Amino acid sequence: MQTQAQRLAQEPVAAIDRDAIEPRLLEILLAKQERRKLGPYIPRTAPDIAEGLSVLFAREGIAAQARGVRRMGGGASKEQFVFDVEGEIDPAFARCVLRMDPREGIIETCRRREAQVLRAVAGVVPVPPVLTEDGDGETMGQPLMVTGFVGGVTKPSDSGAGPSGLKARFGESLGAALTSQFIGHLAAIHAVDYRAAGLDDFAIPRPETTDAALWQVNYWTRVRALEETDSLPLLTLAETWLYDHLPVCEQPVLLHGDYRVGNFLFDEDRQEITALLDWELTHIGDFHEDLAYSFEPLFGHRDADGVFHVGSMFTTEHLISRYEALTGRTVNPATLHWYRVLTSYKLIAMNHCSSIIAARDGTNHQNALLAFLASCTAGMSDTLCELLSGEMA
Amino acid sequence: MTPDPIIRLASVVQTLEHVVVPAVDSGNLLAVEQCGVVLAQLRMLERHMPLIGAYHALCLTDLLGVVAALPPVEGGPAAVMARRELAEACAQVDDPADPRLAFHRVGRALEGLVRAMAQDGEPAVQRAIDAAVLAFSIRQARRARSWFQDAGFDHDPDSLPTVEAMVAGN
Repeated sequence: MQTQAQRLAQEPVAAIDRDAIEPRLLEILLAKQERRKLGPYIPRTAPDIAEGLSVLFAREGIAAQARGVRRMGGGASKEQFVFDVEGEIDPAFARCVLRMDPREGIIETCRRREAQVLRAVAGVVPVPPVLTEDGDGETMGQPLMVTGFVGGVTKPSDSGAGPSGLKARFGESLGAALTSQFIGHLAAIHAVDYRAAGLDDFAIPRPETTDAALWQVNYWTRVRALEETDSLPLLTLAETWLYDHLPVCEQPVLLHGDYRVGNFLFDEDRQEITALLDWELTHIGDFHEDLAYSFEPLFGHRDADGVFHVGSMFTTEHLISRYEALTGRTVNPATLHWYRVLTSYKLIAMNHCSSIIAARDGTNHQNALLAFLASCTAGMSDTLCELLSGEMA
Repeated sequence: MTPDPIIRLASVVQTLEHVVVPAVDSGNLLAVEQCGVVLAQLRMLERHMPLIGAYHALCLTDLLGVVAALPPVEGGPAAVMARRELAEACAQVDDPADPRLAFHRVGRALEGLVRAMAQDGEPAVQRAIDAAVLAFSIRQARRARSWFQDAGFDHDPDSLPTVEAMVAGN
């Protein structure tokens, strides 16, 4: 892997542009800072949502009515409601899900981008169909997206799990069945021709450059600059290391960005993934990034022998070997390591910065949960220390 | 002063657990989920409350020790300025009324030095400072994991000392 440090040996220091961030992501991140000034957020009620859906459907020319609006559980970053639709509508939308931004959340993402990517990957991997979106929050005051409802569960019904499906445990048979689908779908996402996919709000990093890596460090460092309330010197240590070792991305691919247990639905009887969810962190970047995400200890378990299993289903070695076999790509250990550091860096930024500031200001629908999730920073910091230890010995 | 804050908190937890939470509409998923989180957070606070001052003082003492042992800074103007600002932050810590705030004030100044050394610091000194910050971070992460172990997210809770033992320096 050629790193930024090696490149800088031949190039001037000015080559690192620390302001390079995807324009749409920067736009909504800065808009959030202004929105914070509006004060605490009061969670929406089902009648509020029913009324808003009437306005939305009328605006979009959808000749249908929402019935039986009710709140869904889960969703640490978005308010989610499910409802039935009556009227002239495709059967795929007989029951729908509304995903709406609270005033602030653990991450600031774009409903327009999410709808674009869901349309782009429909038919490639199982995803909920998009009915409509309001990326600027014109109808209900907050950005939103409406998709068809897809049946399934995020964790086995006989398994306990923490928030967001974390710590779910899968049995041997179910785990084996889902493993091949999980890795196969990841390979399929990475094979999408994103240039022909209508991803108008996405920026594309230049191949054979450090753009893909740099944009990520820049973005999460900007989040910290805007939202960090408490000091964590470890993060700044990681920041300087990341900038000093930016890997070159030979050929960017479409990334899911949050590919883990808890973010897909499956049918327990058929042992089949019915929908990949939570595409809000999707971007175009280095394939190592999605692989590195699976290595985060929070998203898996160690067995009795101390071997780490992704989502309790498969080892990281299996993930890499299967992914390489499916895609023909070769995983670069140094690049994978860099993206593992980035994964820790951004997960800590979410929990240590965005969660705390939203909980402090009461701008989320689950303020208590965000304050509780911030405690994840402790374990994530331990992981980041381990990752950096070999680099600073 | 009475009642003791711990008694006040314990009474709230007990009332929530046995009176309020059972009365919550089971069809209101947001309310049901938040009840679980609220109770877990309050129970953790109940355990933390007698130890909060000692915990933050422990973290601050370690941080100040790290800063005191840093090598003299060699480098350009950014590094020199950041070292001066770190010294000033530490000088303001004498008998801190709030060790938590003092920790973050000194921590931010230390972060400023890490960034400045990456910018124009002498490489050998930068490596020494980075190593010291990492060693501190390893200790701090272990303290924080112990502190928050009741949240249930830790990947290896059995390896951690209890909160009480950790604060006692074990």
